Amino acid sequence: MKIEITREWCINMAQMEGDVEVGAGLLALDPDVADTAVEANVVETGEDPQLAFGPFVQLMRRQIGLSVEELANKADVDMSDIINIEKRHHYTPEPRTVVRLSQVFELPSKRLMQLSGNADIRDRHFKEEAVRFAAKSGSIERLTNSERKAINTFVAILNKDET
Amino acid sequence: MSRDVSPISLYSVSENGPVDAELFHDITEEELMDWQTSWLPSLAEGMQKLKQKGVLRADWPESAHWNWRDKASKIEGLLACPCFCIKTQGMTQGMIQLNLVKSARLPQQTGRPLVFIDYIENAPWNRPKLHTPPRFKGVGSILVRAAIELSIAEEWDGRIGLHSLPQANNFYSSDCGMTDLGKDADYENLRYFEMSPDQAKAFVMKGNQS
Repeated sequence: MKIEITREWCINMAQMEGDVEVGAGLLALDPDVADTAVEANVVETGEDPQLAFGPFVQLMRRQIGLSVEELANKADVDMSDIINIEKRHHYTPEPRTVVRLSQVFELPSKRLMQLSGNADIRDRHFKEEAVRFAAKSGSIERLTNSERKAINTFVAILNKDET
Repeated sequence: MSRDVSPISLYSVSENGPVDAELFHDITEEELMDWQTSWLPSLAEGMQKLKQKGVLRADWPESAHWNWRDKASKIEGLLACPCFCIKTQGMTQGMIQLNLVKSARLPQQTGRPLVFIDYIENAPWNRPKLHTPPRFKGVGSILVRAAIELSIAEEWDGRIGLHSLPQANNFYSSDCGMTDLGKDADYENLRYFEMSPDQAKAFVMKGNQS
Protein backbone atom coordinates (compact mmCIF):
# COMPACT_ATOMS: atom_id res chain seq x y z
CA MET A 1 0.00 0.00 0.00
CA LYS A 2 1.39 3.36 -1.02
CA ILE A 3 0.89 6.35 1.28
CA GLU A 4 2.05 9.77 0.19
CA ILE A 5 2.06 12.51 2.78
CA THR A 6 3.91 15.70 1.85
CA ARG A 7 6.33 17.47 4.14
CA GLU A 8 4.17 20.57 3.91
CA TRP A 9 1.14 18.66 5.14
CA CYS A 10 3.06 17.11 8.04
CA ILE A 11 4.47 20.42 9.24
CA ASN A 12 1.24 22.40 8.78
CA MET A 13 -0.66 19.82 10.83
CA ALA A 14 2.08 19.65 13.47
CA GLN A 15 1.94 23.38 13.98
CA MET A 16 -1.84 23.32 14.24
CA GLU A 17 -1.75 20.46 16.76
CA GLY A 18 -0.58 22.61 19.64
CA ASP A 19 0.05 20.98 23.01
CA VAL A 20 -2.43 18.13 22.86
CA GLU A 21 -2.74 14.56 23.98
CA VAL A 22 -3.67 12.15 21.19
CA GLY A 23 -4.28 8.84 22.95
CA ALA A 24 -7.22 6.63 22.01
CA GLY A 25 -8.12 3.15 23.14
CA LEU A 26 -9.49 1.26 26.10
CA LEU A 27 -8.41 2.92 29.32
CA ALA A 28 -8.21 0.02 31.70
CA LEU A 29 -8.41 -3.18 29.73
CA ASP A 30 -7.06 -4.57 26.51
CA PRO A 31 -10.00 -5.67 24.35
CA ASP A 32 -10.39 -9.37 23.74
CA VAL A 33 -9.67 -9.57 20.03
CA ALA A 34 -12.41 -12.19 19.62
CA ASP A 35 -14.95 -9.57 20.69
CA THR A 36 -14.07 -7.03 18.03
CA ALA A 37 -17.01 -8.08 15.83
CA VAL A 38 -19.55 -7.22 18.56
CA GLU A 39 -21.28 -3.90 17.96
CA ALA A 40 -21.19 -1.62 20.98
CA ASN A 41 -24.27 0.39 21.98
CA VAL A 42 -23.76 4.10 22.34
CA VAL A 43 -25.72 5.45 25.26
CA GLU A 44 -26.42 9.16 25.07
CA THR A 45 -29.78 9.83 26.63
CA GLY A 46 -28.85 12.97 28.54
CA GLU A 47 -29.21 10.97 31.79
CA ASP A 48 -25.95 10.05 33.40
CA PRO A 49 -26.30 7.75 36.42
CA GLN A 50 -22.57 8.09 37.02
CA LEU A 51 -23.36 11.58 38.32
CA ALA A 52 -24.81 9.87 41.41
CA PHE A 53 -21.63 8.11 42.43
CA GLY A 54 -19.67 11.09 43.72
CA PRO A 55 -22.51 12.55 45.81
CA PHE A 56 -23.36 9.08 47.06
CA VAL A 57 -19.82 8.40 48.30
CA GLN A 58 -19.67 11.82 49.91
CA LEU A 59 -23.01 11.42 51.68
CA MET A 60 -22.18 7.90 52.87
CA ARG A 61 -18.83 9.14 54.16
CA ARG A 62 -20.50 11.99 56.05
CA GLN A 63 -23.23 9.71 57.34
CA ILE A 64 -20.67 7.41 58.96
CA GLY A 65 -18.78 10.46 60.22
CA LEU A 66 -15.50 10.10 58.32
CA SER A 67 -13.24 12.71 56.77
CA VAL A 68 -11.86 12.11 53.27
CA GLU A 69 -8.57 11.00 54.79
CA GLU A 70 -10.25 8.67 57.27
CA LEU A 71 -12.32 7.02 54.53
CA ALA A 72 -9.22 6.60 52.36
CA ASN A 73 -7.37 4.95 55.23
CA LYS A 74 -10.28 2.70 56.14
CA ALA A 75 -10.77 1.61 52.51
CA ASP A 76 -7.01 1.39 51.90
CA VAL A 77 -7.20 3.58 48.78
CA ASP A 78 -5.46 6.79 47.76
CA MET A 79 -6.93 9.96 49.23
CA SER A 80 -6.74 11.51 45.77
CA ASP A 81 -9.12 8.79 44.54
CA ILE A 82 -11.76 9.78 47.11
CA ILE A 83 -11.32 13.47 46.24
CA ASN A 84 -11.66 12.74 42.51
CA ILE A 85 -14.72 10.56 43.06
CA GLU A 86 -16.45 13.23 45.12
CA LYS A 87 -15.42 16.25 43.06
CA ARG A 88 -15.21 15.12 39.45
CA HIS A 89 -18.49 14.17 37.81
CA HIS A 90 -17.10 11.81 35.18
CA TYR A 91 -14.22 10.32 37.07
CA THR A 92 -14.24 6.52 36.83
CA PRO A 93 -12.22 4.98 39.67
CA GLU A 94 -10.42 1.68 39.33
CA PRO A 95 -12.49 -1.41 40.14
CA ARG A 96 -10.37 -2.17 43.22
CA THR A 97 -11.25 1.21 44.74
CA VAL A 98 -14.96 0.58 44.17
CA VAL A 99 -14.79 -2.87 45.74
CA ARG A 100 -12.98 -1.47 48.80
CA LEU A 101 -15.58 1.28 49.18
CA SER A 102 -18.42 -1.23 48.88
CA GLN A 103 -16.82 -3.21 51.73
CA VAL A 104 -16.56 -0.12 53.94
CA PHE A 105 -20.12 0.93 53.17
CA GLU A 106 -21.34 -2.72 53.41
CA LEU A 107 -23.11 -2.53 50.07
CA PRO A 108 -23.20 -4.85 47.02
CA SER A 109 -20.07 -4.15 44.98
CA LYS A 110 -21.91 -4.97 41.74
CA ARG A 111 -24.25 -2.01 42.17
CA LEU A 112 -21.41 0.34 43.02
CA MET A 113 -19.48 -0.90 39.98
CA GLN A 114 -22.45 0.10 37.86
CA LEU A 115 -22.82 3.44 39.56
CA SER A 116 -19.12 4.25 39.23
CA GLY A 117 -19.12 3.63 35.47
CA ASN A 118 -17.12 0.40 35.69
CA ALA A 119 -20.01 -1.77 34.53
CA ASP A 120 -23.14 -1.42 32.43
CA ILE A 121 -26.47 -0.53 33.98
CA ARG A 122 -29.07 -2.55 32.16
CA ASP A 123 -31.75 -2.06 34.83
CA ARG A 124 -33.65 0.99 33.62
CA HIS A 125 -35.33 1.50 37.00
CA PHE A 126 -31.98 1.55 38.81
CA LYS A 127 -30.61 4.02 36.28
CA GLU A 128 -33.56 6.35 36.86
CA GLU A 129 -33.22 6.07 40.64
CA ALA A 130 -29.52 6.91 40.39
CA VAL A 131 -30.21 10.04 38.35
CA ARG A 132 -32.99 11.03 40.76
CA PHE A 133 -30.63 10.61 43.71
CA ALA A 134 -27.93 12.69 42.01
CA ALA A 135 -30.44 15.48 41.50
CA LYS A 136 -31.49 15.43 45.18
CA SER A 137 -28.05 15.34 46.80
CA GLY A 138 -26.45 18.58 47.91
CA SER A 139 -23.07 19.66 49.26
CA ILE A 140 -23.58 21.12 52.74
CA GLU A 141 -21.47 19.80 55.58
CA ARG A 142 -24.07 18.25 57.85
CA LEU A 143 -26.62 15.85 56.45
CA THR A 144 -30.02 17.40 56.35
CA ASN A 145 -33.10 15.34 57.05
CA SER A 146 -33.95 15.25 53.39
CA GLU A 147 -30.39 14.15 52.49
CA ARG A 148 -30.60 11.45 55.14
CA LYS A 149 -33.93 10.29 53.74
CA ALA A 150 -32.59 10.34 50.18
CA ILE A 151 -29.54 8.30 51.00
CA ASN A 152 -31.45 5.75 53.05
CA THR A 153 -33.92 5.29 50.20
CA PHE A 154 -31.09 4.86 47.72
CA VAL A 155 -29.22 2.41 49.96
CA ALA A 156 -32.38 0.29 50.07
CA ILE A 157 -32.40 0.27 46.26
CA LEU A 158 -28.74 -0.71 46.08
CA ASN A 159 -29.43 -3.62 48.39
CA LYS A 160 -32.25 -4.86 46.18
CA ASP A 161 -31.42 -7.70 43.80
CA GLU A 162 -31.11 -6.68 40.17
CA THR A 163 -34.36 -7.49 38.26
CA MET B 1 12.80 -8.83 5.21
CA SER B 2 11.88 -5.41 3.76
CA ARG B 3 9.08 -3.39 5.31
CA ASP B 4 6.54 -1.12 3.69
CA VAL B 5 7.54 2.42 4.58
CA SER B 6 6.45 5.93 3.59
CA PRO B 7 8.64 9.03 3.99
CA ILE B 8 7.13 11.73 6.23
CA SER B 9 8.27 14.66 8.33
CA LEU B 10 7.93 15.58 11.97
CA TYR B 11 8.27 19.03 13.45
CA SER B 12 11.29 19.29 15.72
CA VAL B 13 10.60 21.76 18.52
CA SER B 14 14.28 22.27 19.39
CA GLU B 15 15.27 22.84 15.76
CA ASN B 16 12.11 24.81 15.04
CA GLY B 17 11.70 23.02 11.75
CA PRO B 18 11.07 19.73 9.93
CA VAL B 19 13.06 16.52 10.34
CA ASP B 20 12.86 13.49 8.10
CA ALA B 21 10.90 10.58 9.53
CA GLU B 22 9.39 7.31 8.38
CA LEU B 23 5.91 5.84 8.61
CA PHE B 24 6.29 2.06 8.79
CA HIS B 25 3.27 -0.03 7.90
CA ASP B 26 3.72 -2.41 10.81
CA ILE B 27 5.09 -2.66 14.35
CA THR B 28 7.95 -5.08 14.86
CA GLU B 29 10.14 -6.28 17.70
CA GLU B 30 12.39 -3.28 17.09
CA GLU B 31 9.60 -0.84 17.99
CA LEU B 32 8.49 -2.96 20.94
CA MET B 33 12.03 -2.81 22.27
CA ASP B 34 11.96 0.98 21.88
CA TRP B 35 8.75 1.01 23.89
CA GLN B 36 10.22 -1.21 26.57
CA THR B 37 13.67 0.34 26.89
CA SER B 38 12.96 4.00 26.06
CA TRP B 39 9.27 4.84 26.32
CA LEU B 40 8.72 3.19 29.71
CA PRO B 41 11.67 4.82 31.51
CA SER B 42 10.76 8.20 30.01
CA LEU B 43 7.16 7.70 31.10
CA ALA B 44 8.26 6.80 34.61
CA GLU B 45 10.51 9.86 34.80
CA GLY B 46 7.72 12.13 33.60
CA MET B 47 5.23 10.73 36.07
CA GLN B 48 7.70 11.06 38.91
CA LYS B 49 7.94 14.77 38.10
CA LEU B 50 4.14 15.05 38.07
CA LYS B 51 4.00 13.37 41.47
CA GLN B 52 6.60 15.76 42.86
CA LYS B 53 4.63 18.72 41.55
CA GLY B 54 1.54 17.39 43.30
CA VAL B 55 -0.41 16.91 40.08
CA LEU B 56 -3.58 14.89 40.72
CA ARG B 57 -3.35 11.31 39.53
CA ALA B 58 -6.42 11.87 37.40
CA ASP B 59 -4.36 14.34 35.37
CA TRP B 60 -1.52 11.91 34.77
CA PRO B 61 -1.19 10.33 31.31
CA GLU B 62 -4.13 8.02 30.87
CA SER B 63 -2.28 5.43 28.79
CA ALA B 64 0.68 5.06 31.15
CA HIS B 65 -0.19 1.44 31.98
CA TRP B 66 -0.57 0.30 28.36
CA ASN B 67 1.55 -2.66 27.37
CA TRP B 68 2.33 -2.58 23.66
CA ARG B 69 4.04 -5.95 23.81
CA ASP B 70 0.80 -7.53 25.10
CA LYS B 71 -1.23 -5.69 22.47
CA ALA B 72 1.07 -6.88 19.69
CA SER B 73 1.04 -10.49 20.83
CA LYS B 74 -2.78 -10.59 20.87
CA ILE B 75 -3.06 -9.50 17.25
CA GLU B 76 -0.05 -11.30 15.85
CA GLY B 77 -0.81 -12.70 12.42
CA LEU B 78 -4.29 -11.16 12.23
CA LEU B 79 -4.85 -9.49 8.88
CA ALA B 80 -7.76 -7.53 10.34
CA CYS B 81 -5.45 -5.71 12.76
CA PRO B 82 -2.84 -3.73 10.82
CA CYS B 83 -0.46 -1.34 12.58
CA PHE B 84 1.67 1.68 11.76
CA CYS B 85 4.51 3.35 13.59
CA ILE B 86 6.52 6.52 13.15
CA LYS B 87 10.27 6.61 13.60
CA THR B 88 12.88 9.30 13.39
CA GLN B 89 16.51 9.49 14.50
CA GLY B 90 16.44 5.76 15.14
CA MET B 91 13.61 5.91 17.69
CA THR B 92 9.90 5.08 17.65
CA GLN B 93 7.83 8.23 18.06
CA GLY B 94 4.28 6.92 17.84
CA MET B 95 2.31 3.72 17.33
CA ILE B 96 -1.19 2.86 16.17
CA GLN B 97 -3.11 -0.41 16.10
CA LEU B 98 -6.12 -0.64 13.78
CA ASN B 99 -9.11 -2.91 13.37
CA LEU B 100 -10.92 -3.63 10.11
CA VAL B 101 -14.03 -5.43 11.36
CA LYS B 102 -16.07 -2.59 12.82
CA SER B 103 -18.87 -0.54 11.26
CA ALA B 104 -19.82 3.09 11.20
CA ARG B 105 -22.44 4.56 13.56
CA LEU B 106 -22.87 8.04 12.08
CA PRO B 107 -26.48 8.43 10.86
CA GLN B 108 -25.66 8.59 7.14
CA GLN B 109 -22.93 5.99 7.40
CA THR B 110 -24.50 3.42 9.70
CA GLY B 111 -23.38 -0.13 9.04
CA ARG B 112 -20.70 0.76 6.49
CA PRO B 113 -17.21 -0.54 7.18
CA LEU B 114 -14.59 1.74 8.66
CA VAL B 115 -11.04 1.60 9.98
CA PHE B 116 -11.28 1.57 13.75
CA ILE B 117 -8.35 2.80 15.83
CA ASP B 118 -7.94 0.30 18.66
CA TYR B 119 -4.97 2.14 20.16
CA ILE B 120 -2.86 5.17 19.35
CA GLU B 121 -0.08 6.57 21.47
CA ASN B 122 2.62 9.23 21.24
CA ALA B 123 6.09 8.68 22.69
CA PRO B 124 6.37 10.15 26.21
CA TRP B 125 8.93 12.82 25.27
CA ASN B 126 6.49 14.19 22.68
CA ARG B 127 3.74 14.73 25.27
CA PRO B 128 3.66 18.24 26.78
CA LYS B 129 2.12 16.90 30.01
CA LEU B 130 5.27 14.87 30.61
CA HIS B 131 8.09 16.79 29.00
CA THR B 132 8.43 20.51 28.43
CA PRO B 133 9.08 21.32 25.71
CA PRO B 134 8.00 18.21 23.76
CA ARG B 135 10.54 16.87 21.31
CA PHE B 136 8.47 16.35 18.17
CA LYS B 137 5.03 17.42 16.99
CA GLY B 138 2.77 15.99 14.33
CA VAL B 139 2.75 12.34 15.41
CA GLY B 140 -0.98 12.22 16.15
CA SER B 141 -2.04 13.88 12.89
CA ILE B 142 0.15 11.62 10.77
CA LEU B 143 -1.10 8.44 12.45
CA VAL B 144 -4.73 9.58 11.97
CA ARG B 145 -3.87 10.30 8.34
CA ALA B 146 -2.45 6.78 8.02
CA ALA B 147 -5.76 5.35 9.25
CA ILE B 148 -7.63 7.49 6.72
CA GLU B 149 -5.34 6.38 3.88
CA LEU B 150 -5.87 2.74 4.84
CA SER B 151 -9.64 3.33 4.84
CA ILE B 152 -9.38 4.82 1.35
CA ALA B 153 -7.24 1.89 0.16
CA GLU B 154 -9.94 -0.47 1.47
CA GLU B 155 -12.51 1.56 -0.54
CA TRP B 156 -14.17 2.77 2.64
CA ASP B 157 -13.85 6.44 1.62
CA GLY B 158 -11.74 7.53 4.57
CA ARG B 159 -14.20 6.50 7.31
CA ILE B 160 -12.50 5.98 10.67
CA GLY B 161 -13.64 5.63 14.28
CA LEU B 162 -12.10 5.51 17.76
CA HIS B 163 -12.70 5.85 21.49
CA SER B 164 -10.75 8.84 22.72
CA LEU B 165 -8.98 8.95 26.04
CA PRO B 166 -10.60 11.84 27.95
CA GLN B 167 -7.48 14.02 27.76
CA ALA B 168 -7.51 13.72 23.96
CA ASN B 169 -11.19 14.56 23.37
CA ASN B 170 -10.32 18.05 22.10
CA PHE B 171 -7.76 16.71 19.63
CA TYR B 172 -10.33 14.50 17.94
CA SER B 173 -13.19 16.98 18.02
CA SER B 174 -11.32 20.21 17.19
CA ASP B 175 -8.06 19.27 15.48
CA CYS B 176 -9.37 16.28 13.55
CA GLY B 177 -12.93 17.57 13.06
CA MET B 178 -14.50 14.25 14.02
CA THR B 179 -18.08 13.85 15.20
CA ASP B 180 -18.50 13.12 18.90
CA LEU B 181 -21.16 10.45 19.24
CA GLY B 182 -21.07 10.57 23.01
CA LYS B 183 -20.00 8.28 25.81
CA ASP B 184 -20.02 4.57 25.03
CA ALA B 185 -21.18 2.54 28.00
CA ASP B 186 -19.57 -0.57 26.52
CA TYR B 187 -16.16 1.08 26.31
CA GLU B 188 -15.57 2.34 29.82
CA ASN B 189 -17.70 5.40 29.05
CA LEU B 190 -15.03 6.74 26.70
CA ARG B 191 -16.33 9.14 24.06
CA TYR B 192 -16.73 7.58 20.62
CA PHE B 193 -15.62 9.71 17.67
CA GLU B 194 -16.16 9.03 14.00
CA MET B 195 -14.98 10.64 10.78
CA SER B 196 -17.19 10.60 7.70
CA PRO B 197 -15.82 10.62 4.14
CA ASP B 198 -16.39 14.41 3.94
CA GLN B 199 -14.65 14.96 7.27
CA ALA B 200 -11.73 12.82 6.08
CA LYS B 201 -11.40 14.98 2.95
CA ALA B 202 -11.53 18.13 5.10
CA PHE B 203 -8.83 16.76 7.42
CA VAL B 204 -6.51 16.07 4.50
CA MET B 205 -7.24 19.45 2.91
CA LYS B 206 -6.59 21.24 6.19
CA GLY B 207 -2.91 20.32 6.06
CA ASN B 208 -2.60 21.30 2.42
CA GLN B 209 -3.60 24.89 3.09
CA SER B 210 -0.56 27.06 3.79
